[in-house]
Amino acid sequence: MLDLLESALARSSGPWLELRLHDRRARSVLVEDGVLEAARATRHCGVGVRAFVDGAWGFASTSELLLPAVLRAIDAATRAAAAAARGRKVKAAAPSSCPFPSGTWTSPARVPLSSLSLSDKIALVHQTDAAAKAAGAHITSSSCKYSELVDEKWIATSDGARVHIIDTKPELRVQAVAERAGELQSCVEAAGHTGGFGDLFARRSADEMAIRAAKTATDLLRAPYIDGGKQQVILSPDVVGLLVHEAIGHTVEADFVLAGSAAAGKLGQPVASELVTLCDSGESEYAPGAGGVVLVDDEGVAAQRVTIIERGILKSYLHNRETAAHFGVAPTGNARAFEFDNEPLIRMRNTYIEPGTTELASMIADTDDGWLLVGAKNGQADANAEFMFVVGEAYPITRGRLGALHRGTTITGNAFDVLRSVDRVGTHFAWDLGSGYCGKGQPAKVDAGGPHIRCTAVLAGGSSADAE
Amino acid sequence: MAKTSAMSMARSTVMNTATTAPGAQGAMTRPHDEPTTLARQTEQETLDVCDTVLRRALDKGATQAEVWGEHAVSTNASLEQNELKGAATAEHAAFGIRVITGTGADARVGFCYVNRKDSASLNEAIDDALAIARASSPDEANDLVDPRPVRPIGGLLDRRVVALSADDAVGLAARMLQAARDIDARVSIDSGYVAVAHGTVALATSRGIRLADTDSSILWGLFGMAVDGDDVGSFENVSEAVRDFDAIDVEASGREFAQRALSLLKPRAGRSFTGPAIFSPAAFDEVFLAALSASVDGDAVRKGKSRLKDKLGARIAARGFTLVDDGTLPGGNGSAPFDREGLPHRRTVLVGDGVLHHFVYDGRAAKRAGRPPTGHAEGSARTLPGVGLTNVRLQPGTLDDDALLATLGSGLWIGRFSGDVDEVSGDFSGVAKASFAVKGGRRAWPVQETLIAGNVFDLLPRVVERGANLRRLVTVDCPPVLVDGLKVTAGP
Repeated sequence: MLDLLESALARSSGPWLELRLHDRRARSVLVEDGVLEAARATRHCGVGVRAFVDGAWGFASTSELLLPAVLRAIDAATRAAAAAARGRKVKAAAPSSCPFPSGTWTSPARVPLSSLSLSDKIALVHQTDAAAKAAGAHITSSSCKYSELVDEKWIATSDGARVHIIDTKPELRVQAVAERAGELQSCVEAAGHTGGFGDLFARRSADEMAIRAAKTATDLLRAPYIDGGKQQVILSPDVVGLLVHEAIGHTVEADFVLAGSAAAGKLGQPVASELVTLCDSGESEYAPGAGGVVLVDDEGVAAQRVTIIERGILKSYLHNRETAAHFGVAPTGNARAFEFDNEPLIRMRNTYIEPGTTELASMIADTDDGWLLVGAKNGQADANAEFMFVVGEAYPITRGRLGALHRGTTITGNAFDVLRSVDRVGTHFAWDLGSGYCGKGQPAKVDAGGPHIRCTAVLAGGSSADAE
Repeated sequence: MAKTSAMSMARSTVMNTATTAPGAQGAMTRPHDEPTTLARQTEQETLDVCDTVLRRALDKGATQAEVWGEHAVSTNASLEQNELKGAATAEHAAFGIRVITGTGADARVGFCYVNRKDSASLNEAIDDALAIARASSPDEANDLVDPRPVRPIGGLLDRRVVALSADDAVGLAARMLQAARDIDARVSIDSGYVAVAHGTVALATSRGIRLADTDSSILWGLFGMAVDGDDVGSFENVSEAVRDFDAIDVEASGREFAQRALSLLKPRAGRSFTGPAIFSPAAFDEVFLAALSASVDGDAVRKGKSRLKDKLGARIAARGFTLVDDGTLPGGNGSAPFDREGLPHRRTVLVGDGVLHHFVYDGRAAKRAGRPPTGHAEGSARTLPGVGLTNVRLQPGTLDDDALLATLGSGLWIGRFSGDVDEVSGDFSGVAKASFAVKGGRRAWPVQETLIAGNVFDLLPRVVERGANLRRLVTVDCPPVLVDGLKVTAGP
C-alpha cells in the first residue's frame, strides 16, 4: 500500500502533501437481557489527503484504493487549500520538519484478538450479560457490549515520512440496572485497552466487571445523596485520569492555547503543587495496555512522551507539526485522525500523573472530613480552566474512616487551583479511562490515569427531592 | 437530542418505485426544490447497487435481506484561532447490509457495513454479514417490515445549496468570522465551520421496499470565548442547520456568538439554593428532553429501562406541557419521507398537556412489544436500525424572555448544561455553564463553578412556565422553561 502512496506522491509536484491510507475493520457484539441485540462488522477504508498551499490547508479523501482516485483526491485537496488561502489574512506556519520513523510499527498485544472466533466473542458477551443479571435480586436489566478496532495505516508525506502502523484496541462494557419501588439505578463497568485479550482482562475478568456493576447498581438504590460544597476529596486513578484529561490536557493542546486557553503564556510558571508531575505519552508508561497507545502519529511523527507539568511547573504544550513550527519546538506526536476521512487534530494519547509516595490507606487515615470519589463517567473542560466531571460513587471519610456508598455527583473547580491543592499523591498506578472516546469534532481513543491523589474541589449536592 | 450532522441530515426528495402514495404533504413547487438529473441518476445508481447486493445476499443463503445505500457529497470550510484554517471536499458511497437466516423462532441476524462499491468488497461484506448471522442467537423478532405508502416531503432539497462550492463555503466562513470579530476584538474564535452536504439514500429489502431519496443541508457554527487580559471567559458556541438557501445567515450567528461570549466575562460566584431556575432551550434539551426521548423509546420501555414504562395515559408533567415528534415537517432538519427501515415518518404527540400519550418503535421493538412500528427507525449505513425521534417540538408558552425573567424574580438562568444525565433514573448533575444569577427579574452577572442537580421525572411536574421564544436546535424546537425545585450548589 505504501507503493500506492509513493506513486501518487511521485506524480504530484508543488504543494506539501500528506497521504494516509487507513483500513479500519471493526466488530461489535451487544447482548441485552440475554438477547443478542446486534452483532456487526464494519470496514471503513480509504485515503485521506492533506495539502498545504500558500499558508492554508486543504483536505480530501477517497475510498477507492487506485492511483487515479488518489490523484483526484490530491487535486481536490490542493484546490481546497488554494480556496482557503484566498480567504486567509495571515499565512499558517508550514509544517515543521523532524526526523521521521520508518518501517512497520505494531502495538504490543498479549493474546491477539484473532485468537477468539466470532462465536467465542458472542459467547463471552452472553456469559457476561448473564453474570450481571444473576448477580442480584434487584437487577431488572443487564447488557454487555464487546467492540474492537483493528487498524492498519500507511502514511507518506512529500517531505519524507514513510510508515506502516498496525494497532488493535478492544473494549468491553457491562451495565446493570437495579429497581426497587419504581426507582431505577444503573452502573456501568468498562475496560478499554490497546492490545489483545490479555490486555483487556489483565486487571479483572469480564465476570468480575459484571458482578461489580450489579452490586453497585443495587447498592445505589439505598445510597443517599451527598451534601454539596467545597470539600477535600481523594480521587481514585480513573477519576485522576478524568481530571488530568479534561482539566489540564485539553487546556494545553496547542491549538486551544493559540485560541487563548487558560494555559496560554504560562510556560515556566508554577501551575500545580510540587507533588504533581503530569505527562502525556504515546506509550503505556507504568502499566501495560493503555487504551491510547500511539506509536507514530497521523503526521508520521514518532509519538513522544511529553512532560506537561514537572513538579508543579508548566513545561510543555501538546503539538502537531504546524503548532510546533509556530512555537519553534519539536512536534510531540499528538496529531491524530480518527478515520481516513478525518483531518489530523491535536489530541491527547495516554495522560497521567506520576505516582508518589503515599499509600491509599494512610491517605484515608490522614483525612478528617472528605470524600473518596470512584467511577469516572464523563467530563468537559472550559477555556477558563473550569472543568466538570461526573463520578459514579462517593464514599464519605470521617476522622480517617471510610463510610458507606453515596450516590455519584459532579465535581467542578478551576483546574490549576485544584492541582495547586494536591497535598498527597499515591503509590499505586492504574490506567482506567480507556473505554469510550474523547470528542473534539471527531472521536479519539485515549487513556488516562495515575495514582490516588488528595485535593480540594466543589461537589454538587443531592437532588431536589432529597433536599426537601 | 440535537444529534444531526451534515451527513446524517442528507435525506430528502423521494423516488419510490413500489409504494409512493399520491400527493405530497407540505411539498413546495419552487424550481430549486426539484432534484437535478444528476441527483436522479445517483439515486438510480445507488438503488441499483442495493438491488444487486440484495439479490446476492439471498442467493448466498439469506432468507431475508435489507441493503441501505448512501452517496454523500460534502464541502467544508473550517476556522481555527481567529483565521480560516482550510477547506475540504469529499464524495463517498457506503452500504449497510442486514441479512437474516432462518425463519420464525430460528431467525438470526447479521450486519456488515462497507464504504466501497466494488464487487469484491461488497461480496466480502455479504459473506461477513452471513457469518455473523450464523454465529448469532435466534430471535423471532429478527424480521423485516412490510412496505407502506411513502409520501414526499417538501423543502428538504435546495439546488442552490447543492451548488455551493469550496470557495462559497470559505466565503461564508470568512463572513461569519468577520461578523463575530467586528463586534469586539476580545472575541476569540477557537474553531468554526461551514459544512455543505447533499446526499442520496436508497433502500432495497426482500419484502419489496424499494426507495431512494436525495436532500441537501448546510450547517455552520462557532466555538470560542472572549478574552480580556487575564480574564478568559467560559466557552460559548452557536450552531445552526438549515435546508433552505434563503435561511442562511452566518453573520447573525457570528454576532450572536460574540455577544454571548462577551457576556460571560467577569464571572462571579453564584449562591446555593433549592428553588426555581430558567433553563435556556439548549439546557432544557440537554437535560430534560434527552431523558424524555430515551424514556419514550418503546424498546427501553420493554426492557425496563424507562421510568415511564407504567405511565402511559398518566400525568408525568405539568399542565400545558406538550411534546410532539414530527418527521414529516416540511424543511425540518430531522425530516425524511421514510425511516431507516423504509416506513413513512409521522406526527406523534408524545406528551399532551402533561399526559404521556405514546411510545415510539422501530420494526423489531414493535414486534417484541406486539405493536405496530411507528416509523421511528433511525440509523445510517454504518448501523443497524434503532429507535429514534425526528423533529421534536416542545409547545411554547406566552411569556417573552423579559416576562419569564420577571416571573422568576430571583434565581438562576442556565445557558448550557455540562454534566451527566442518567437517562434510566432521570438523575442529573452538572455544571451550569454560560449561566447567570437572576436578581429583580433581570440577568445580573455570569456565575462560575455553579452546580445543579435534580431528577428529570421529579421536576417535570414542577415546570412553572414555558417561554414564547421558540429556538430551533437542529432537530429540536424548544422555548426557555422555568422549573421549580432545582438544587443549586455554588462554589466559593
